[in-house]
Amino acid sequence: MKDRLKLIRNFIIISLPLIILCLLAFLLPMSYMSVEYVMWDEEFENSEKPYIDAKTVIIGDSRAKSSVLPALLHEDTYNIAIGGATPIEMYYAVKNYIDRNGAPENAVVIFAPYHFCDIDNWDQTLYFNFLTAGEIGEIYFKALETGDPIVAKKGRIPDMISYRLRLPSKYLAQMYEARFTGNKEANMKKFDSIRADLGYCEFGSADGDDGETHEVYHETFDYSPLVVYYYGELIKLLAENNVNLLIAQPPINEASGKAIHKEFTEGYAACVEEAASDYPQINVITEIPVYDNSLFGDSIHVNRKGAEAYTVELREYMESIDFWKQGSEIYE
Amino acid sequence: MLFNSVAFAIFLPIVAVIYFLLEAGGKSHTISNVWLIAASYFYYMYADVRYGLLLLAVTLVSYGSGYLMRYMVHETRMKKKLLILTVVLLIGTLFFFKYAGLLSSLMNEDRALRIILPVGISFYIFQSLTYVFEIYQGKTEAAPSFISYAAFASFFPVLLSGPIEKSSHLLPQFEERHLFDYQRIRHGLIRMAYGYFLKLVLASRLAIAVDLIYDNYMDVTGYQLLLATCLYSVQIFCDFASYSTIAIGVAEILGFRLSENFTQPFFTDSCASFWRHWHITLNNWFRDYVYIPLGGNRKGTFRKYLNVFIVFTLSGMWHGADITYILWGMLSGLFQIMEALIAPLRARFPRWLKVFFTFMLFTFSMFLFRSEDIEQAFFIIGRVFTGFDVSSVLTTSLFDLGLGVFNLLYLAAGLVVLLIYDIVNERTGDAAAYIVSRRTPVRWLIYYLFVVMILGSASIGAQQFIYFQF
Repeated sequence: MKDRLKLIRNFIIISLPLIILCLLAFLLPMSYMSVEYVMWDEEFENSEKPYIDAKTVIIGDSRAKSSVLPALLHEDTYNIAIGGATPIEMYYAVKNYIDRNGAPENAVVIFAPYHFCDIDNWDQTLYFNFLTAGEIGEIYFKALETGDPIVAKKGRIPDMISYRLRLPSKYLAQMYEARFTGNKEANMKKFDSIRADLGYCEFGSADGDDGETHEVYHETFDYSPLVVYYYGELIKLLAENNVNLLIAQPPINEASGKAIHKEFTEGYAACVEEAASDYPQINVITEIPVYDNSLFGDSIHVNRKGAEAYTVELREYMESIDFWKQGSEIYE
Repeated sequence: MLFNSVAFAIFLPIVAVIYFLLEAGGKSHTISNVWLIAASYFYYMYADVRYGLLLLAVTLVSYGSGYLMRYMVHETRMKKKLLILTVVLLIGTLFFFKYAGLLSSLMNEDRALRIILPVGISFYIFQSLTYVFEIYQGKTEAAPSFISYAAFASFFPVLLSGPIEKSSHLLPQFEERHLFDYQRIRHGLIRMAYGYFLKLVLASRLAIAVDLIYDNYMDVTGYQLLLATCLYSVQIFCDFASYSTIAIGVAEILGFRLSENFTQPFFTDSCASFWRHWHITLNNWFRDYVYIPLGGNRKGTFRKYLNVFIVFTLSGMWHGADITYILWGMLSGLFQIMEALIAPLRARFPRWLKVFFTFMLFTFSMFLFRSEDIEQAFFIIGRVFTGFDVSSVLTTSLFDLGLGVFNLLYLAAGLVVLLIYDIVNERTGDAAAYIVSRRTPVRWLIYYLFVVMILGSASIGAQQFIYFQF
């Protein structure tokens, strides 16, 4: 027994550098993580303790994050969308938000259609440790059920453990790059700017972009059953909590508008309508707006000018359907 | 499952703790051997469940053959026929998986068979064959039970890349009691740590430099290709020796003694000696079951050279279904023959020069081994001789190898540690035991050196071992 304890003790002492690195990675993410992490952190903190008492929230991915300026849309609006998130992550984000703070009165759901086809950021979701182990487990089992090749790929469980334990194999490269604490100032600045803009975040700042967006590479709407399942769950969650809901589409640039396949947009529209079909009170826009190339900061996201244009258009539409009034009626 | 993966870091402690509990609690080894079999099959099937069936089939064939042979004490001809049948079956299986795709593509490129090569097949088939050969030769007793044999044939530390153990060495160890032993486990852990050091600190970094040049082989000078190939020689040593070292360490933790597979090959001063220090267990296999049965050196000089040539050609074929491997094997054999022919001249050279020549001849053969196909290999060899570009010796900076200053310094420090470890190994025969014998502060300093260097390499990521493909 003495020898066994000695082995365990020595093993722990030898592992001290590893333990220190894991602790650093766990405790100081804002010091070394890249700037993308900031909005995940901001969203996490916001769901714990909302920055404002928002009556309307914007839900979605990077396109929602970069397309809607809450201050311009309506009073008491906050953008809780996350860049790189799919309906999978947003379902849990919204669920946690509602569990902790109660349901908002209104919500606008905006996702890029290609996020229904490609789960291209799952490693980033795990890397940022945005979800709890239980949530990841739940998603993993659902992915096994739906045969998702990304979330349930071979070797995913050890991978998930590595991220959860903040092992150096996953985090050390970024820690080196940031010289361990070198990103803190920039990240805090970004955090403050997101808060100042009530959750809005610019992704591309160019004065125009004529590159094609991801959607044009899909000839048909070859969706992921896992994402569609969580999209349905997200809509259900909001509807069952009596949230006055609008499903809208983010803009694409002219170059993409010309190249996007009709079968893809039709398939996508049918999918969105199907998800909302059980809830007639939901307002649904399936048409994807096409904006001038000059309003895009990169090939995927609108720049600030584009965000202003889109927010105004969205506000006008919402006013035209008496959206805010609908919200108050639901609660009456 | 890679040795350098989180899955293995979880797998090994579970296997070891339960194994020790079973060994301590049971009177016979059956249950603990069943546990090892279960662990080994899980380890193997982790990559692909279908692989387990093949391993089971190989185990059944070799065990069945050995079982029948023990009843054929006086029926020599029948025994020989059974041996031939078993060899044909097992080598035929190996040949099928390795060569069927190539042969079908030669016959009809459009309808080539797409056969997945199960990892480690060459290693466990050769290990199973040692059992059949040794029973035939009367060098070992048949396995006391199918359980012991199955544990030997599937033993996970050696399953994917050896060392290829002889049944007379490893099989009896499954009948020994292996209890928790602090000293042994510590020694095993040091071996493992050194293995990880070789893989993560050295092989993974060298791979970055080598891949960068080989991926752009048409755009670089002959000097850069030669430099990359020299680095590849060191890379493949670190990569393969790391696997063997970790395997030996893992087995030692569990209480098993495996054969050494590499003993400082780059310190040798002849090709013949080099192959006695490089992939020792495979070369011993070919020596015992091909070279000696062919007559070895007992039938005159010409036959000896011919036998060497045959053995190395077969060794090349063992590595893979590609003409580059076969040519590599033939070349390695030819180098030994040429070396023997000029032995009087070589005797006049200083040792350091002979060591250098041995390394360069091995590196030359690596042009074939590393290249994707024969065209690439000939292009690279041609470029080294016709496009060497002496000026690039001065203009090529080591910083151009895709590593960056930090990784380059890390690599240099790692190579110094490798050199010191190998010198200690050469002088003491067991560097791990040497470390254990040092005073506490020195010992812990060495432990931390390994831990920090390995951790510092964690960001490079887990890469597959080169020899898995064989």
